[in-house]
Amino acid sequence: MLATHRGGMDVGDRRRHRKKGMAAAWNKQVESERNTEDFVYSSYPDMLRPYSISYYRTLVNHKTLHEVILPILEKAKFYNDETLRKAMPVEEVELTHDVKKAREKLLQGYVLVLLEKGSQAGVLIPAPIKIGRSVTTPEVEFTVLGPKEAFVESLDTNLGLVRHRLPITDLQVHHFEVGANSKTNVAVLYIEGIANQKNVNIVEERIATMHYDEVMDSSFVAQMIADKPNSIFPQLLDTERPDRVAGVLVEGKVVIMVDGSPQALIGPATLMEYFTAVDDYYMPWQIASFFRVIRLVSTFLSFLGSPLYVAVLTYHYELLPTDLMGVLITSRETVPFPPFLEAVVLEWSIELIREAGARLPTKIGLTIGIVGGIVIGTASVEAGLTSNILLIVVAASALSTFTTPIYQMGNTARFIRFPILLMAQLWGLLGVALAFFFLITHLLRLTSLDNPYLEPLYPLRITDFKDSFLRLPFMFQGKRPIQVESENRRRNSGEDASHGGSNE
Amino acid sequence: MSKQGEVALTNLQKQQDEKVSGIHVFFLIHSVQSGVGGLSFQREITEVAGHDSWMAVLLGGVLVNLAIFFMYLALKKRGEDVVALHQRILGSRLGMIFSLMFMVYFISTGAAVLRTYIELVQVWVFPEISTWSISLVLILLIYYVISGGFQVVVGISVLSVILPFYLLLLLVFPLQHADFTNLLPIGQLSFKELMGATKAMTFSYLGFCTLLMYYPLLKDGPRTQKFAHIGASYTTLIYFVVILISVAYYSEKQLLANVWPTFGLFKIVRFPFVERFEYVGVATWSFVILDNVCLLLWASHRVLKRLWPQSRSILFMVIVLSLIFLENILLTGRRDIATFNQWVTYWGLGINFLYLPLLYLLGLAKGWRGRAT
Repeated sequence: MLATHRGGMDVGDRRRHRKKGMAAAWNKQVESERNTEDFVYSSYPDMLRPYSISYYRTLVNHKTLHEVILPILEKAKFYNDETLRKAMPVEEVELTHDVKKAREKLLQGYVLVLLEKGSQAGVLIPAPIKIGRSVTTPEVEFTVLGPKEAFVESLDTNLGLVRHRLPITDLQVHHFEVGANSKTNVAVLYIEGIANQKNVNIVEERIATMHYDEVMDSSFVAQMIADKPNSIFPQLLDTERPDRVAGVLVEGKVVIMVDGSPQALIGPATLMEYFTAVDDYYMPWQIASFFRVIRLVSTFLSFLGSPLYVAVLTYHYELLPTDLMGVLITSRETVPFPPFLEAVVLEWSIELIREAGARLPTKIGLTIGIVGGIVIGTASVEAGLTSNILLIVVAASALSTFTTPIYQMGNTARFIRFPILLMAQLWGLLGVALAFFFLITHLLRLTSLDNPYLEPLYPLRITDFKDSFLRLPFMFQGKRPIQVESENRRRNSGEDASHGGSNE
Repeated sequence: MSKQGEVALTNLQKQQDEKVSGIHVFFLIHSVQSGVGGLSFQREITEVAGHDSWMAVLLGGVLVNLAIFFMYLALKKRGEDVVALHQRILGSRLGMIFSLMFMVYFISTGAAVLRTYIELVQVWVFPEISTWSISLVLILLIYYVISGGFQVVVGISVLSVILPFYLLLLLVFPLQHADFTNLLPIGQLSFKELMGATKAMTFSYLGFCTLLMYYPLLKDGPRTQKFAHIGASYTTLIYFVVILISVAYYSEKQLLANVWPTFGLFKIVRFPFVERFEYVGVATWSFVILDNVCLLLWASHRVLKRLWPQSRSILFMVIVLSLIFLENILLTGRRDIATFNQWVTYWGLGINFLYLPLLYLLGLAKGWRGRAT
């Protein structure tokens, strides 16, 4: 743009034509924006150097405008837009002849200055206002130990948070723009030489071919670039923690960040990673592994809790020892419903409490929890509508699904229970087994960025067990997992020891 | 979200990654061998060989390892599968006929396994369940697995070894009541009896000849041989332990009266929270058998794909699964199923231990002749 402009200076004809073009076109633009409430156009024809200035009031930082841009326009001596550009003490000032570009830039918080005399181009001065909250503590992925900062909506802030943790030049940030209307900025992050280029290519290719008019959040991207969009399992791990992002980048994964979204996406993901909390790495490995096993086992049992209750009480009551059966029967004495209906109603009410709690402000949400949980639960047992053993089972399974560190996986875990419940009613234990078989087949078929989802179970990779079901000590974590197919499998390799491990 | 489908550009890359690594051969061999046979082999071999039947288990294991050895010998030189082998040795017309024979063998074995499992369910858990409903569900599940491709079939094999593993630990319970003097005196059987028992044992060992179909899909094939042998030996070991415990736990007459002695062993399992463990056992066993059927049907599908690469897999699978569905409904009662299983066993015996060595010898002879001229 600049080069064309300089070339144009020598030729008088073209110069006049251009000047006329830009000014006239801009006047037309101003005319069409007349009814836009926050569009500001002021012209100063009586000045020594007449100029006009246009911007969107709501997008511009008024401090910059009044304390930097306007004083310069008043004081400085400039003969054409090039000298104006040089006089302006703001970086990335641009000259343009293109009305369309000027409009786009204005919408990004630029100020357009048009000199009335001796000018061909418009001068675009960036003065965007920074709206949004500052970095706060993580709320979705809270940990007791470790760093307490979470991503915010601003992409620049988020990138800064990651760069602070990975001050290396190999960290690549590629920029994309998606959404015909939203013009959302998407950044793809990876570490050159560690991440597998194949994964990077898949991500970039898919983002580039994404077509949707409004991309509001990273979850839009996650759903649109997923390998199997119709699966209920999340295929890209979403996190709000910069320490997790830095950790997986060093492991060799690819991270996608979307402007306006406090959740970064990590891929390729495996099922096990959804049960990994960041503070697993901040605790002694034995304790971390213990907690991880608790999460895994309890989530697994939460699928089975109420379906087993239904299966046993509907078909296989001889499965239980007499003592236990006696307790069960006593608790169900007055219940007028079949076990299936009883279980569905209770599961439903737990979901009700969760959903009501999620829709309400925190303080009222707490009240709802107490009202829903204690009052409804106790009252329904006392009224003889449900068995209190089932109440325990259902509540414990609901609690178990909340142990998943990644919120999306918890949702999936709660959803899966209902089909299994149905199968338990149809074919008892066999139905549960078949539903489980279906679940496993589905997980085997799933891929995340074309990498198997059930790794390290299948494809069986014994060495990757070091950080899946258990979290073994760091001395065993010397190599990156096979799963990411890193281009450099050894951590702490090469000349620079700070590359690996520090955040993992 | 209309253009979500546009992300499939990388599928070409995926097909290159289709190969599986060597360790999975262990699971493929072991899981296809352990199936419905493992529930009833004790009775069948004890009928012939009495309390010395464990010898038949070991002998059968040796024979299986021998067969695997010959399979590798035949396949590893060129890294081909049995279809290519047939084409090379028997010519295209005759080769095709024999490949089709394999296809039918795979399908009928799969059908036999599935029907036996449904019978198991009907006898042990749901006497009144209709055959068609349960077989429809199973068949849909199998279709879901196979349509995922070889990777998913292998994955199911791996998980169907890992997940039901706990059943083996439960063999501790019958051990408490075992009387190992039942095994004495050793060696009271004639050679003919031993052979007869080994023949009866083979049904439980069959299925490993699916190796002939998936061999080209293994990463560096020849080096996977040890995993195949380990897999077959592991199966032998498990069957050996089970037969020892069965003979020690039951008296010989009890064992002969039991259609499924293995589930009889589970009946003794008792936890503070579970009695009558065989219900759990039957449900878990669905994992053990479904992977067999999936692998066998995948192999039959692979034969089709190798002979006619352009053919439509979905159509084939629908036809095969409908045939199996029909077979499941038509076979009613123990006798029908036993006859069908018997027939499949003979066929498997013939293919694994007669036809394949012959084919190998033929190939060798042809090779020599080729070298001479």
